[in-house]
Amino acid sequence: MKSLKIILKFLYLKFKSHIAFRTDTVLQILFGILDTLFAFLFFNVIYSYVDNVVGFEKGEIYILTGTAYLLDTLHRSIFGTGIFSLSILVKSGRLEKYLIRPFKPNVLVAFREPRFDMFYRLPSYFVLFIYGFYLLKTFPSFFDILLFFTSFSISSLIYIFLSYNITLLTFWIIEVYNLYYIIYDFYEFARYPEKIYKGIFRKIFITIIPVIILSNYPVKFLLKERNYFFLFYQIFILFIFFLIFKLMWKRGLRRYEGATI
Amino acid sequence: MFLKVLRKYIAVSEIMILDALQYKINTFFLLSVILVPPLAYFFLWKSIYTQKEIIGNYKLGEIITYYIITYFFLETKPRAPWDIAHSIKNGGFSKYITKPINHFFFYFFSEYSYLFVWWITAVFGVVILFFALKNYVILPYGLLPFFLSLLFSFFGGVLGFIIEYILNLLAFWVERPFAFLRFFDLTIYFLSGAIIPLDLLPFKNVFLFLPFKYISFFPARIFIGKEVNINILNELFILFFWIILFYSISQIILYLGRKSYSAPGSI
Repeated sequence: MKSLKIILKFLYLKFKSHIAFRTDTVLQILFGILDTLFAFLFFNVIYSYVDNVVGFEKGEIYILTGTAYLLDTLHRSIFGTGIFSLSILVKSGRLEKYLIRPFKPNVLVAFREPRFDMFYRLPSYFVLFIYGFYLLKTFPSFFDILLFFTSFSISSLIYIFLSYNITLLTFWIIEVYNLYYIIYDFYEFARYPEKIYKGIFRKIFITIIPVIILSNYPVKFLLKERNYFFLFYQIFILFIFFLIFKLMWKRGLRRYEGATI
Repeated sequence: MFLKVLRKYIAVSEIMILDALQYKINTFFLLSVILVPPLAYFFLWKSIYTQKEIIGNYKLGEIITYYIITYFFLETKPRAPWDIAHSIKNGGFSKYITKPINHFFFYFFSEYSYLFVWWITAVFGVVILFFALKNYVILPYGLLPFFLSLLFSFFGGVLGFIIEYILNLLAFWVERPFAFLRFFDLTIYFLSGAIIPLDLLPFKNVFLFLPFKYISFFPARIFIGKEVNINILNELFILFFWIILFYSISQIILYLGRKSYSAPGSI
């Protein structure tokens, strides 16, 4: 409870400094609209030639894309920059600033740089998501929505640990900036239906770098594919990634050499 | 005289190449931007093409190659670094006023040299993709379209650099220019044809009129043999017209910006 209070206070202070810049807000709203429009145009062109993509109708693909955008933007706005900054802290030897505080340093680092400006993109992505339902002319049951949110939350946690585990390599590789961006490149796979991927790539992106499941599994609950296996599998992956994270953090700290006094 | 002027920019280039060579593994990791998005597009378009043989006027091989080449051109083009905007905001710009160096050409040479190492790595990435997707990609029908494609992408890159340079200069008047830069980055990305070939879009004539097509769409179309009947000289003339126009605008903005520059934080 005390930890939560500290985090909320910290986020409140960051938010106060953020709202001083209103032009940023307008531009971020426009960015969200533009990004949504491009995704809309992309699939509109595709669906002007075909009726479905691996069984996904136009409405379904908008729900999937909307979910992928929402998940990614939420991650980047709250944790993305903070987690990435770990590589800078380690490289410059300033991590001990967080290690000596009476708070979990890995949590503190993750919340270090919230990007509130990115929040303004969310409404546009949400419109795309809702527009998908409008095209389908059906709406999921309350229970399916609940399962969607559960699955979505687990996906968010997997995404956090996935990003963190890649960034933790910074303890072993000095210059790791570009490695961190790999995760965003791989996230491209999350934007499309799971069934389009075949062979070894499908196996890799469901297990080692499980980006496909991040958006596809929550959406399954909204598209009448309720199967609790997906939920259990997500929990299993989350558990594995959490263990890897604990191990890497512990080992990484042993290698760490500070540079501040 | 010209050689004397050029010498200092060559020195800048040498330093930047050495800098780029410093962290080779980091450069290697950047390969994912060349490999991953086209691979995702490959899976998507492959599944779409199971229902239709031709989409727009593209066959599967053409569209896959289009995305590989487009991403290669886009990701290897020089970018006017946000450092320009940063330096205007924090007073670092002052050193360019006091030194006998052209601000534009300093960044131009720095970026091209820094990209040199990355360009070689990126070619390696394209070769990997071509090899992995050998049954789906197509090669240019001769050396001429190959070189023309490179030529247009080079000058298209110059044009892109100038446009981004102009956007960075807005920092003279805007309190926080980075949201602007991000916004226009996305716009340029789309208008260059990275998300979808511009000729598949509604109102395509508007998109094809804009200069952004030269950054990657047009060179990629030459590569896949879709621009056979064009008048090369005419297209080059139009591209040079845009380059000269935007370069002139950039110099006017730089001139006006210097007048309003207050050197914050400088001594």
